[in-house]
Amino acid sequence: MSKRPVMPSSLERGVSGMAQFIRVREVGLIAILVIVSVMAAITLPAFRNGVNVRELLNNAAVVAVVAIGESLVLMSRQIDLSVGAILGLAAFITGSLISQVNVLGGVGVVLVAILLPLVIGVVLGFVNGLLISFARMPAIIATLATLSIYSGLQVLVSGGSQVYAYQVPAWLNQLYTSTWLGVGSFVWIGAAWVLLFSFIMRMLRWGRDLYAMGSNPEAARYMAIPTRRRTIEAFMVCGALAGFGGLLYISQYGNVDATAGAGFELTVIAAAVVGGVSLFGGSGSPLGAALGSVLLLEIENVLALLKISIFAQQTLQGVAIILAVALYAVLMRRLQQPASRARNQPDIDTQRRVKTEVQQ
Amino acid sequence: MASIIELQDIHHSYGAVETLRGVSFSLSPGEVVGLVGENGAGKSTIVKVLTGVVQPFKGTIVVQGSERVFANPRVAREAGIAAMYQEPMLFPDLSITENIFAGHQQTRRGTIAWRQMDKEARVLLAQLDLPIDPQTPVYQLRVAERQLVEIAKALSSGARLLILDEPTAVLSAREVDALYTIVRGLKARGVTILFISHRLEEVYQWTDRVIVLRDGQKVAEKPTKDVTIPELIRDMVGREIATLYPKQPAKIGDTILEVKGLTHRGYFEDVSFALRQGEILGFAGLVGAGRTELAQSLFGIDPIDSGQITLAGYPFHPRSPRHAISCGLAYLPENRLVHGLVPTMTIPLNMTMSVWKRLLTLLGVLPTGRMNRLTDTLSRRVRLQAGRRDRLVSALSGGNQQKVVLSKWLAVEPRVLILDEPTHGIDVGAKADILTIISDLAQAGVGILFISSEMEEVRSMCNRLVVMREGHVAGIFASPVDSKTIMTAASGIPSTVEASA
Repeated sequence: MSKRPVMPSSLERGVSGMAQFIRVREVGLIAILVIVSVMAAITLPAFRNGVNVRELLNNAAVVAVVAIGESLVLMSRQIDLSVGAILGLAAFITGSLISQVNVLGGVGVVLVAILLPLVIGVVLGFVNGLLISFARMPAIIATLATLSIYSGLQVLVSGGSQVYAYQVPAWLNQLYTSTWLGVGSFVWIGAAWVLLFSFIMRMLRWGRDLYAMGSNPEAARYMAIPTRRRTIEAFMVCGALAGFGGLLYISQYGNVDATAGAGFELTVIAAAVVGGVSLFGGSGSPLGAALGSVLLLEIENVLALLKISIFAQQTLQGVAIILAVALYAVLMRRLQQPASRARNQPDIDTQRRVKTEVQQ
Repeated sequence: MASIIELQDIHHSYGAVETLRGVSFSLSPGEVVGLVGENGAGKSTIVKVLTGVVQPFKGTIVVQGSERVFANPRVAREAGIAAMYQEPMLFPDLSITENIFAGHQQTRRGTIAWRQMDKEARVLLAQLDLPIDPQTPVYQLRVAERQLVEIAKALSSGARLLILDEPTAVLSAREVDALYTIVRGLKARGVTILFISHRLEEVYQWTDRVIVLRDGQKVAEKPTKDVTIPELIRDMVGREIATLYPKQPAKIGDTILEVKGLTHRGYFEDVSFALRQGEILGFAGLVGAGRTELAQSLFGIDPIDSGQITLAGYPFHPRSPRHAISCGLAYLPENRLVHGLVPTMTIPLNMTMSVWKRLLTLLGVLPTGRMNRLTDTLSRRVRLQAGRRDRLVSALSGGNQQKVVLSKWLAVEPRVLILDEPTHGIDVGAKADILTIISDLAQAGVGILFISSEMEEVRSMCNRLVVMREGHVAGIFASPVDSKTIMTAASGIPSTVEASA
């Protein structure tokens, strides 16, 4: 079409390998994780302890699995406050049913134990999605209500009783402490979910639809993305992962009571946000949410090891979150500067033109 | 040549306001057609009809010989129609590639073919002479570049009609040239362009044919080579209205507000004028000329980079709207429902909002009686026709809403009143009321800055007229001034063209 010469690719902005690498948002997060870990390892011998590291990573994996689901919802510009309640309810129902129904044989029990919490989560997430997509309730109100409903159900179902460790099958109890290739099985499980959802969010249209909806909801509708349906689906997936988190919870603590999972949603949302998932939608990644979980629990762990009183810990943890997010923002700005162009520089046109003339 | 799209007798209305009254035209392949008209002539409604955003209540759309109903934007897009707005509708967090292919991503075995899309995006960007890595997120781009991404998107989806809706208003001269080159290239490929612009010079330069709309009707359609710019202006402005404008002579007093070299970089630069007591100083110009931004800086909403303001003889540095009000300024904003009113509160609460502090009792209670008495006084003054006093403002007509906003500012008895499009979207009766109040205020010695895009209104109401163009003062004219002169100054057409007409 145009008779003007096509520019050589050397003029293209920010395509060097380094720029490509830095553009991945998670790099800054990994850098902070490394900094904090190295500092903790040097100053606190107890932090280096193998058991401590394994427990830290296992606990982070539980948060991460739920945070991945939450991140999908956040990226589509919604929020799910009911994940803690879904986790608790799924954990209690699954825990009590496993201890009662033992007739399916070994493989059957494992299958039920995995599928049941997922199904519970999908159903509860579906209810959330319906309220938001069709009853047009703001997500924060709808899921605040279902948070109350689901945790109320948990109390009702439990009737004051508990699921005790001896009622839980041995394989599930041992899952928490078991390792494969020297790495805790929870870490493998968490990594599997991260891989799966990184693929879904990057390579499938379904995932890209969620990003688009979060980035510009109006434009998403104009692009004929089925936004209501995607919203429901996102909440279903989020519920399923929260339910799966419930299964891990059983294994983590052995016993489940009526308050299991209470307040967990705040940890999860904090982890996602620390991991670079935007509360305003459109950006973030499952890997970021998982790394955010690790960072969050690492901070908690360090504060506990410093033998700071449990009351001060909470305050300091909040301060640490702010510092981490601020550091992350500063770091990302520094790292991205050479990659992206200086924005106040209006003469890219000039450069282009000069180059054109030189060519001619 | 066979037309690619034809509009036949399109009617459309918003509520009682008829925005299109039987518009028909057809577009041929590879043609660049200009669509011009004053604000409110129906240009943007045409765009919305063509892109399926709104549906006409009467009339048909024919695409390549067969009748079509654009029930939603998707249908229009699939019929090969794409629009590019001043501020493109993109996903800021996502990459250029993803924006270009939004809605029609390429997939391979169900997974998104990023590499292939990146490759094609790079080719498209090269065609548009935009050498940027397609993986760059769109929020990093300048407006001109975002527009090009939108064009690339239209090309990738095989658009045959590209609507450019006021694309140049936000571009620098150099960027406009670049866009023009691209438009010529698209034309050569057989893409039809519908070009909407207030800048008649560009319309004249770019288009093969020009369609003039006025009051929702097509008033002229000619090959561009057969018209002159003065002719176009005459067609756009049209009718000679005697006067709907009740301006009474007022005694002009001392200078109340003087502005020297005022600059807010990127919005307006080096603006100087003086306003005297009892004077109505009009501000004309195109949308985006910097008039609203100037008003907001004077009222302390936006910062000022340099320049001086003198208010009643004293230097004045507006720090905040509160500060500006306390110094005797008032500002009636352009968008009354967002910035002028609290729609979910009653008339008295809205009207007295500016003086709540004065009305409060010692205990900090807002006394209903005093509030209502003040409301009644103000309502009579502005001839508010609201029925009951305690109605919610959201339930009032546009004209009555504007009267409430005006009352709110009358309550503070300002020395300088800034009016930003005070009659925009208001029916004729209320308009005359509002203009009468404005005239009365001037007679009472208030200095008035009157921003309006309605040519007749500013011409008739103002003592003098400041015409702004691209953030600068293009000229200050004493009344009477004809609309051609204003248009010429506002759109930047050199006066030689005017003289040759």
